[in-house]
This record gives sequence, C-alpha cells and structure tokens, in this order.
Amino acid sequence: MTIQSDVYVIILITVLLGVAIVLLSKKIQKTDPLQKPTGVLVPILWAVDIVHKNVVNNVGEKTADVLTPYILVLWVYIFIANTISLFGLSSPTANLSVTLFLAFVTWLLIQITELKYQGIKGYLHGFLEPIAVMLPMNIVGKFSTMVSMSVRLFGNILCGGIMMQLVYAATQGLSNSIASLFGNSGGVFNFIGPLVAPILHAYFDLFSGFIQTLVFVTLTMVLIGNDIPEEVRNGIA
Amino acid sequence: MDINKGLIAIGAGLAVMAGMMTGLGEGMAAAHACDAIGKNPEAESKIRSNMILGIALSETVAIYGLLVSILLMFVYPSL
Repeated sequence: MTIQSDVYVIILITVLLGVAIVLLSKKIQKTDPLQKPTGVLVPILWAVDIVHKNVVNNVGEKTADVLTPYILVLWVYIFIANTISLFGLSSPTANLSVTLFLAFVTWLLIQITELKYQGIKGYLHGFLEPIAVMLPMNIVGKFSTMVSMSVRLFGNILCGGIMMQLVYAATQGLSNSIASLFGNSGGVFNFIGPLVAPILHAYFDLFSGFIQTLVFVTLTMVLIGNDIPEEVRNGIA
Repeated sequence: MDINKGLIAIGAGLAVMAGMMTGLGEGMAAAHACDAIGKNPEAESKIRSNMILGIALSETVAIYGLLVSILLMFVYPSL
C-alpha cells in the first residue's frame, strides 16, 4: 500500500495551522483588552470582526456566537489549502476525503439545527412532506447536500490543478518544437511556460480558490440560517 | 487502441455536457443579481448570499455530470 503525496501536505498544513493558532491565542490572552491592538493582532481582529458580522447577518445573534469559530476555521483552512498549490505542493482540497469530511461537518450542523428547532417529531415528519410517496426522494435529498458541497469544492480545485498541468505540458511541447527549428533536438527548458503561467495561476489558484472558499462558507451559513425560524434570527424571541 | 477505451471517453465527454446549460443559467442568475443590486444597492449582502445559494443549487447538476464522467474515466475501466 502506498501513501498518497496529498497526505503529507494535509498533515503539514494541519500542523502549521495548529501551531499558528496556539501561538496567536497565547498572544491574544496576554494582551490587555482595553489597549489598542498592535502588530499582527490588527488584521486578525479585523478579520474576526468582519466574519462575525457576516455570520450574524445570516444566522442571527444567538447562533452566531457558536458558529463563528467554525466559519473562521473554514475560511482559513480552505483558503490556505486551495492556494498551497502556488508553492508546488498538491492541494489537500483536491482530495475527496478532505472535502467530504468538511461537508460532513457542515451537514451534521444543519441536521442538529433542524432537530433543535423542529423537534424530533417535526424532523421525522419532514421526510413525508409534501406527500408520503416522496419519502425516498426526501432521504436522497438529505444526503445530496453533503455530496454536492464536497464534490463542488473537490471538482473545482482538481480541475484547476489538471488545467495547470496541461498548460505546462503544452508549453513544454511548444518550447521543444521551437528549439528543434534551431537545430536543438533534445528536450529544452520550458521557456514559454513562465510567460503564460502566472496569469493562469492567479486565476485557477488564487481567484478560483477564493471564490470556492466564499461559496462553501456562504452555503454553510445560509443552509444553517434557513433552518432557524425568522423570530430567532432577528433576535425577537 | 482498444475501442472500449474510446467509447468510455465519448461517454465521459457526453456526461460533462450537463454543464452546458448550467453555465447559461448561472450567468443569467448573476446578471439578474447585478440588476437587483443596481436597483437596490443597500440590499447587496442579502442579494449576494441568495445569488450564491441559487447558483450553488443549480450548479449541482453540472457537478453530478462531472462526477459521472470521473467515475466513467477512473472507476469503470478498472471494474
């Protein structure tokens, strides 16, 4: 049995993020909350504030306190995992196991929210709506959220990686054929690749990675927010 | 070349054609969302999250097409 190279990257990112989070939380605990934040804390507090406001908009004040840490983890982990391919490593999100587990956690949160606000009777009755014949459809529909969320992220990142490999292969072939015009018949340095690749890396890795993170995070928030009654979301009840 | 390999490739190509109309639909959704933001700039964040939800739901069709084509290419030949 061989170990995929993705696994090493997954472990590397997890360890690095864990160390960074532990160090930063120690730093935050040491600082005086009444003083103005300095140095590296400024952008972090700013990001936490923006994400918290966004979560409050979608799920309401009450749930936001519980949900914000998870949303922040999703932002940091998925965005770093999508853009790590800029450093020549393979993206962990191009591995279905990773995205399936992320989608599984989101799916679990959605089910817990439904159970909490509809009760176990309402949750089970939801399978028979609008008519009892729809039972198999509703069971498939419950799990389709998990499948579609995981495969969306996985497919987008994997296709970006495959596209970049194809571009490098094509430019290598073009470089070889241009060099052979000048009598150099062996393999040469891929000199067209560095001219074409940067803009494509900016699109497939940075832009697409950011958009897919945004979509995953927004979907998590909206789907959880949909199961919370309007009164609770607006803070009336 | 084995003819089965070619047939599998054609099947995989047909499967990703599920994304053809999805692209059109998503573009229309984004265009209407832009219209709505133009009419109601203060509702931008609500429109954006609703647009992403709608686009993501309609994208599911394209994703299932991609899934089927990946299964056809990598899983089906090894059966």
